[in-house]
Amino acid sequence: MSLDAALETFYVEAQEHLELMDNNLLQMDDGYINNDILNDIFRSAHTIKGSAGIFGLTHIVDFTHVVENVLDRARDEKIVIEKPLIDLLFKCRDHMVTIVALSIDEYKQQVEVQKKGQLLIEQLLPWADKQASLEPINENKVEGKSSIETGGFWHISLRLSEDCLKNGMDPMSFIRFLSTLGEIHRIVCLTDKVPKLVKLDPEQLYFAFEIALESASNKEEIENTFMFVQDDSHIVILPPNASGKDFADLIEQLPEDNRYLIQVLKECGTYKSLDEKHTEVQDNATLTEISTKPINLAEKPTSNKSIKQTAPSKQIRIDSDRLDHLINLIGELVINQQRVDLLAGKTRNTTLIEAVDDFESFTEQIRDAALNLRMIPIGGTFQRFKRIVRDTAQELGKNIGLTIIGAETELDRLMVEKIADPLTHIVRNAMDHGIESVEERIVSGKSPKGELILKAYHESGHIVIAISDDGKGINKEGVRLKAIEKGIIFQHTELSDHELFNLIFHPGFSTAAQVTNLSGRGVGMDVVKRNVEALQGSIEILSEKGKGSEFRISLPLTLAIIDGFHVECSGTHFIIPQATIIECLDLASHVEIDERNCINLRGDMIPYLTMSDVFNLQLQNRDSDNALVSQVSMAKQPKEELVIVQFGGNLAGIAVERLHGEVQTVIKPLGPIFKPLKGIGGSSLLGNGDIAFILDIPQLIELAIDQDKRMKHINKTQE
Amino acid sequence: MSQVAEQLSTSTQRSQYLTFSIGKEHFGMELHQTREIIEYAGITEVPLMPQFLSGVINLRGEVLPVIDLSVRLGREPITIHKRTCVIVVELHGYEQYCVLGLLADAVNEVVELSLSDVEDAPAFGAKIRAEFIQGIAKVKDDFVILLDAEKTLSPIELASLVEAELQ
Amino acid sequence: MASIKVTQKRNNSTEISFAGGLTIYSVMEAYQQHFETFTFKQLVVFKLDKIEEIDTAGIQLITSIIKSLLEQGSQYQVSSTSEPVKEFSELFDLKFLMNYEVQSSLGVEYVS
Repeated sequence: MSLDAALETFYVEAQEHLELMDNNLLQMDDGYINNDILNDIFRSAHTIKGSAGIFGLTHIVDFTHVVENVLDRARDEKIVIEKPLIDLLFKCRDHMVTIVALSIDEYKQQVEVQKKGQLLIEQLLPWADKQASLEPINENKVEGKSSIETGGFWHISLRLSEDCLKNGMDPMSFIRFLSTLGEIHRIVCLTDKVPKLVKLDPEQLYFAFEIALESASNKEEIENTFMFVQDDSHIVILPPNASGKDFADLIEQLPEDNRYLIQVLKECGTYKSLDEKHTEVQDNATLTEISTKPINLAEKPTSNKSIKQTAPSKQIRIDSDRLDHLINLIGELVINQQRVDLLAGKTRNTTLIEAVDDFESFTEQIRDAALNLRMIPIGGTFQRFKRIVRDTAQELGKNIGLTIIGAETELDRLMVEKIADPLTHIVRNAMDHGIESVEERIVSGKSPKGELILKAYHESGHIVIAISDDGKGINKEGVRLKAIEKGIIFQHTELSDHELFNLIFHPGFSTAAQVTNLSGRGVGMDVVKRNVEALQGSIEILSEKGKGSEFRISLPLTLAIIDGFHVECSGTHFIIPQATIIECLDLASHVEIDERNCINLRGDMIPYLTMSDVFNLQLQNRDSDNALVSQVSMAKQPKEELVIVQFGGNLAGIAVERLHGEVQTVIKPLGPIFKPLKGIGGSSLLGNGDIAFILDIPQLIELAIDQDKRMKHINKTQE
Repeated sequence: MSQVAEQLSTSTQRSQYLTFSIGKEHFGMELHQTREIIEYAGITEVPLMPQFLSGVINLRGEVLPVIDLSVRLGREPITIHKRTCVIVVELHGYEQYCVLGLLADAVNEVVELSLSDVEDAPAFGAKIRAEFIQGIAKVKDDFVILLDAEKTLSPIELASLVEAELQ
Repeated sequence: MASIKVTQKRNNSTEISFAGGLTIYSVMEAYQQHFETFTFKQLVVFKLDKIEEIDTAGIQLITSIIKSLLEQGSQYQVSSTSEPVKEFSELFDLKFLMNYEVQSSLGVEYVS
């Protein structure tokens, strides 16, 4: 039995609950305090405590118990939720994040963490139910005693999902756990569902169980044992004082023959028939006040059903390594498919070619479906910023609100992970340097509350994440002076706004006169830029003085596979990302406008670059034989083709020698050595095994502009 | 004591080296850093790269950079011929894991060297930056230059050379 | 992995001995290799003393074997058992695995 798998599930679920708690606390912080939210927060704490208990993670149980108690009292309106309590609950939630990440042994070694927990508990005490918080463990005992006093047993009826063995859940572990809650008085393992060998599926669960448990635990603790079982499991837990009717209902629900069940239940010793119900139960109910609790639970209409609400709905969790492996395999499939395509083309066999075409369309669908598995909405990451913005604003003494747009936009999981850090940096930067203090805002006639917008959307095959603020905008002169001071530019260098703003990404650049502990520290925007570029993305700044700034990060949809257009220049193969391509033209048929490498495209002046010039390509002689042939054809001045691409709203042309057509390609990174090389974002294998380079269009154009400038500079100095 | 001497004395006393030749010179590299040797079957040049970076090859679906070690060590570029081969080297440096190919005229043998076989790198005379050399060993009358692959092929240094070329 | 030996003896009995781990990870293989089709002699003797690890899936397989042999009118006997098997049988209160006598029923079964 893999307890590890269950423990892993616990960690994942605990994290989800903590995330949920954070969101709900934020809502309360915004003034939305209602029962639903309180219930949700309570349930999160309660679930974490309960599942931590199953795994014996007492450090989590002990701390969360007090938090849960406070929440419970808030829910019962015994205490009022106020700002200081919300702040404290935030801290408690953060502490829970810390301790959930620690094993018991680790926790025992971290005295600081323990102290912090104790401090938080002390702070919680005024809100907590004194008795419960001082003696957290006693609560159950008090309650338990009374249920033992009743002299009865809990009855637990288990019909677990047929698939639970395959999923690493063995009923034996539940039963073992139950025996830690008390004593299993009697267990009947129902073997009647086990088929004969011929019909046996050895990995399916056939056993069913009826259990009589003598335990001091309350119903919730017993229920928590089964927190991780599948949806289609059927579990009924009847308290010691359940009535004959409860058993009658149970028998009705169970699939087995009624008479057989009665026989089994009698054997368990818990069974009560309809006639012998009330007297005993009522006696117990009046015994102590606390003991009414399990009765109430039992009589709730939902409680006799299985405890489905704790199990996640239609989702399954997959180890991300397995998913990555699948995606890699599909990458290989795509390459092989192209090889088949190439070979089929050579045969000129139309039937074969058609079949291969179908094959191709399916491969594409498989690829898309697989990549989709990896896509997750950016919303989760955005949500986290609510908290960051709240805390940072408090720290800075500013009043700042956060608006989130496009949380449902999906992004490759890897990308979501890696974009969080750069985003945090930009958000903090915007709050620190962009948005003014309340006083400043009032003076400049703005609303005292600054606004930060996080927005995600699709644009021409890319995902754009924009972070905008309504602050003071970037001080161009300030940036300029700073850049001169730092020796990044010369006194007289003329720069466009775009170039000026880009200086902010220069290593070591930081405009804040005063280095705060939030942003600044010299490391900053250059790291952001590098991180974004590592994801094959780009970043752009728009800013207007007095109105605010916007940082726009543009990312590819996925890191693994792209749709590209295969072109060739002087024997070197290139892939242009399909999403950037507008159209292809025959260069000769368009009139070149003076010497500026521009063409007239339906009235628009479009600059173009010649790839063999930018990359300084000459035909390679290395590959001996065909070099001669190619040189001959070279002499014939190969026809030039022009690919029109768009980037950041601009159009540009790229002149190449041959167009080969659309391909799907798997991006193979070129490795650290080639990092300084601009314009090429990676490599990819063609169907015949040749290597092609994937162009990074914005970088390529930047490279061409740089080269152009340098040429002009050389020309000038020569004059 | 040379680095190799230290290593040899502290660890197993003996180390295995793969020896190969470029032109008339013989070189050695620790065997555990080499992964395999493949036939030279063409190379795809990468635009704008300095001369020591010959290009990239497709090794069973993996795209690897190939280094002209001869240029890297300050000599003339290697001449490609029928027997040219590519030594695939795997580096587990502190920076990052890196796999690359080295062009060589011929791969000779695997030798086991002990402390006494290895001499310190000469301060001058080898015309190779001293830090690239672990030591010099005499194998059957030939002098073999034992290279420090981590230093000679450091991805960070190679990248900075690429950057310099692009400036 | 489970290692399973099935011996058809001359005295009209079948001996099935299990060794190693009989768990969810090995039951499918065990089932397909040995038990998908199976004929039993008059008495089936289970030797379980070499089982190092067992779980619900393993116990179910044995239960299914017993059901099939009972169906054919054979009897069975658990001749030896190991600590893990004993522990498991006690946990689930599986009397048919705790009794070393020759038996001809599973115990708690629905009798209509």
